[in-house]
Amino acid sequence: MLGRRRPSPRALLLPLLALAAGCLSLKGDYFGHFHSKTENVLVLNNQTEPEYIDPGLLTGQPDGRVADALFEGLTIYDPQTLEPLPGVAERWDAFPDARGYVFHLRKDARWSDGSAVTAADFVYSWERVLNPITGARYAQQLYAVLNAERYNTGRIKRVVATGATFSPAPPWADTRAFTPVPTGAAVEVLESNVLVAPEALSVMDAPSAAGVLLAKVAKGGVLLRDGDAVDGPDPAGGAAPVKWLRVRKLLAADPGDLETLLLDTDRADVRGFVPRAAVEDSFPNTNGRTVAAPTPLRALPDANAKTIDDAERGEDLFILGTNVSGDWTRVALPKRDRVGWVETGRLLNPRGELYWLKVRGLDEPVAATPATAPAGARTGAGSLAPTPSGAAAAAAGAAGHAPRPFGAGGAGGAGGAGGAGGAAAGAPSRSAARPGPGPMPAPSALPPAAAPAPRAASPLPAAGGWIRADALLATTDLIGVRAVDPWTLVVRLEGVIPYFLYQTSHSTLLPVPAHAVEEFGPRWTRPEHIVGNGPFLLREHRVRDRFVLEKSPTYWDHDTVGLDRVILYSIDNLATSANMYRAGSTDLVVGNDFPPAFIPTLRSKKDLFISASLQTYFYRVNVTRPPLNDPRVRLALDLAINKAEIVKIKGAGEVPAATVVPPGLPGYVPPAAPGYDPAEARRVLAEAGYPGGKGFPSVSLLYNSSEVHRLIAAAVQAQWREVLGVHIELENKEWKTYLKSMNSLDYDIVRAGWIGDYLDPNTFLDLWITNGGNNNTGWSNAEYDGLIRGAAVEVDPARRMTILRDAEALLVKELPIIPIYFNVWAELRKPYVHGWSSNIIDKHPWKFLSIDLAEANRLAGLEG
Amino acid sequence: MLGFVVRRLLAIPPMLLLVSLFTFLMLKAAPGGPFDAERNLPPEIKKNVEDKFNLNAPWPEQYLSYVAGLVRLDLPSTKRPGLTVAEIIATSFPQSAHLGVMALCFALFFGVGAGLLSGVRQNTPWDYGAMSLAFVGISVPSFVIGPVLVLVFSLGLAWLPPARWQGVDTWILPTATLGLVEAAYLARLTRAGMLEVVRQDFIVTARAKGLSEATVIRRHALKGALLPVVTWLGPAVARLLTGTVVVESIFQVPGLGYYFVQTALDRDDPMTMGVVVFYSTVVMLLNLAVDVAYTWLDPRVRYA
Repeated sequence: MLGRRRPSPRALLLPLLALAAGCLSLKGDYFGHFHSKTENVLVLNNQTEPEYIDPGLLTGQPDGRVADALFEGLTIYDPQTLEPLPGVAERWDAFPDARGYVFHLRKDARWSDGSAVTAADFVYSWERVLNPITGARYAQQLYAVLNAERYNTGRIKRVVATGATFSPAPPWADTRAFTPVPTGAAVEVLESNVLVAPEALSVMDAPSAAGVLLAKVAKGGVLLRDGDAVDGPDPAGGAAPVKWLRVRKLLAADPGDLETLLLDTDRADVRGFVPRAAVEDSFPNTNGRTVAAPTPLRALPDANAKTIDDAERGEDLFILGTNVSGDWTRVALPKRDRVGWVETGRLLNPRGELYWLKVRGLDEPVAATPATAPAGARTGAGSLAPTPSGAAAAAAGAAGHAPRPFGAGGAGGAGGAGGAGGAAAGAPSRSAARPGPGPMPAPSALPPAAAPAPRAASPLPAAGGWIRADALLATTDLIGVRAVDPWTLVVRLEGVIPYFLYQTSHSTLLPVPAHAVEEFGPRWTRPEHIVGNGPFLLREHRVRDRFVLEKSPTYWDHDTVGLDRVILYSIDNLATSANMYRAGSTDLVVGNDFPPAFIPTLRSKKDLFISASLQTYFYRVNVTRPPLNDPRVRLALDLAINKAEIVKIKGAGEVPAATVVPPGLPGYVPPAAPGYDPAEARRVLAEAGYPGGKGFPSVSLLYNSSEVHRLIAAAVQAQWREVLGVHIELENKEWKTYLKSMNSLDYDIVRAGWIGDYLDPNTFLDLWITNGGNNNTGWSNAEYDGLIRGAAVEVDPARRMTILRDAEALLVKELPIIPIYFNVWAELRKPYVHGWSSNIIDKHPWKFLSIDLAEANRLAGLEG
Repeated sequence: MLGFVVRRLLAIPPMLLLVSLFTFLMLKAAPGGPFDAERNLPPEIKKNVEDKFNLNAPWPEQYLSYVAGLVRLDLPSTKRPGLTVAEIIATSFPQSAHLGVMALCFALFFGVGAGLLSGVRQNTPWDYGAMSLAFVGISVPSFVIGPVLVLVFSLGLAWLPPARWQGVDTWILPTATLGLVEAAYLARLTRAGMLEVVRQDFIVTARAKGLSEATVIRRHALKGALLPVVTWLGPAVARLLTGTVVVESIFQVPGLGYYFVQTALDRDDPMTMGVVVFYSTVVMLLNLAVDVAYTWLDPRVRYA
């Protein structure tokens, strides 16, 4: 969570107020006064007016505090351990390969307007966070989900069609016999005569009108052969090919209970199915784009239509005509480094082999994909066709040709291997398992159409502007989250991400009510419009004054909720917050929401609680500037800081830091790192060529204007002078100017802080990967990058932590940052508040909080 | 007179345009943007967010959209887009105005009272006492007076709540804090005005007529002595009505003052432009009111 910035007058107030607090007689065991209480109401200060209480848009802790009360995610934090407890999800199963989860939602979860909370709500909410148009600043919280980042960062682009006219629904719709799949099943592709990319997941969409589920290849796949005539009767009476997938059913009850099903994919309503499995992988810079050889287009509806070549540069892409219909259409077209794409609608002609779109307005004439790519692809396709056990080879082929688009390419291959293995096992029984159809056609039966046509090099013919529907993919379908049925949510992850179940408790991943969001737009979070599913309802909101929350009668677990009301004041002045508590107007003060200068005075009070936090205070070093580009200089600077002395400045109980990841993360043991050692510091500095600090160039230490930072910087400056004999200039800048300097590497050494986003060392360590968005030191180390990437694909949790530890060891050896101390949370809390446990991220699920009225009144009585 | 008022009113919109343009240029010249934070957003997300708020558009386009939004009262705040600038001002201004009016009454009552007393009884213990107090009031800033009052009356004596704007008991401390400083200034202003007026020829004439001293002061001197006060009133009322960041912060009054400082720090440009334009409007209208008031207070002033 982002820390909140405070207005500057406070800087002046703090010393005075500290003085004032010192003058006050602080007798008694408690800092706060007590008043008798008659109502089950918790009153506290929420630090500042939230920017957003909309879960998808919020970033700050005050925002999250309100949102967490009004909404409930799949899981909620355990107040003490932060382990995931069931929220809207009753239980969940991990995929066998650990790269995803099936969440089983409780059926009694309700929105406050009475409608059920379903898996579709989560799909909607997460897609909304990731949709670039939403502009969600915390979208990274969802980047663990497969393809989420690509979608969010626009590497998959959405192009809305205009001017296209579509025919009514095709005559063939719903006229065929499906192989029924039980409602509620999630399926995974085992094999098919449609080549499915390694990670392609085929899951069931909502049941069709006929009550059967429809299969869907969620992500890229390649036709084995275009126009394969596969066995099976053509439902429309012709001899058109039928594509099929063999899938493994992930039973909701038991993921181990596997069942092989065959789905006739060509019979699927295209709304839920990408026709013929998409050829297009839909990502840029993909050399291994595997394309089925196109056959010549049969008919173009309008010979006079503009072609791509005619289109002017810089024009947006418009779809002029298509035989693919849908509510809206997007088209997949490679631009220089972007890809537009088409969300398919219903196919007008499901057996027409060729689905086409006519477009105009590309930035530039469509460049053919690099010459080697289609060649490779063709080879791949060619080599696939003769392979008897299609999917395994297909997986291998796709992994070989297209390692990049699927994120961790190696992992993709590995993940696919599981499916491929299953496929291999299932392959011999293919024809048996699928009643009716005969065996797959022999490789030699490849129709001539499979031979590369002149333009086969590019999936998009440069002239004519017609796109084969094979190249169609629905982008939202690429995001690894799927509502299989109202109560089953399947989430595919980018890799092995053990902390994802902590993420599902995070405010950004809370569900939002589509109906209210769509109806009221940015105003949907107002008390009169808001619909929530959490333990509390928003009763009143006065800007910069207060939020009043009331226990929700529609919350599924309302019996557990211990408070009738919660009042959150938006007081952003730390001293005022402390005054309110002292005067007995509030029941507690959340983490660090009172002047830190008070802490030494309040040490003996029973209502002061200090606990570890997931925050590190450190100095960034600009490693691009001499002399700081020398690791020995950085080491000398680190060794020369007596951090045990530094933490006395704030005196809140901060922990001196030799490493950067704060203690307290489950399963993580930080590496050893040297502590304060003046003699060694001098030796190392001399070794670097500056004995006794002689000849050490002018270096400055930048911090944002704030009393605490100034004091710390001055202390560090003095220690460096004393121990190393080097003089460092102090420089301070206003917050935004300081940020700009830090981001543009316009500094020598700069004060910094970081608050972990999730409960994993990676939330700190991946900052310093090469060119990381928050690296800001100029440091780049291939070995470090490799370790961080390696951790992202490591299945074994213990080994993963070891890898991360190795990375941190490297970091503190190279020291592009100098750790100073680990922050703490300091809270003030009346003894009658129950269920509030200190934890490193200062999260306190509202439903477990309660007030002991008898105790409150007893204490008030004692005070007289 | 009417012509004068109409002309002045007509001059307000162009002046507001200039003010808003100047504000806009200053904002754009400042480094950083609303979405710069300690945690850098990935460039793509940042672009998404900035696009959403039209921050990547050319400056003239942004400026025009701000102005149009302000005029139509539907310009959303960048920081809290669920609220428009107009709504934020409309919900926070009443608190500020309420506090301001009370502080103004406080200041006028005590400040003018003490000033007149000192002026009339120059160089007496009354004068010395009042002016010493005024001296303290001017020298000690409100961010000291406020916490001291809280310390004594809220935390020490527990008579009054320490913060928030929730009823008569919560109004007292902020009003006193804000009013004391103004009262001190006003006392000195009134005293100086009175001292100047009582030396004027027309006062000498009045005394020579044999009028009682009380009548001289009440009928002849008072109006003149209050001229500087009226001059002061224009900007002071604007300032007090639209909120003061320090007092609002100490007592957590949900007023407008906070936005004068915080929106600039947040680089919430629409909101900054909104409060600046709003404040300018209030200042211009009140200055006009002051000019009109002059004609009543000072017979020498005439507007055509």
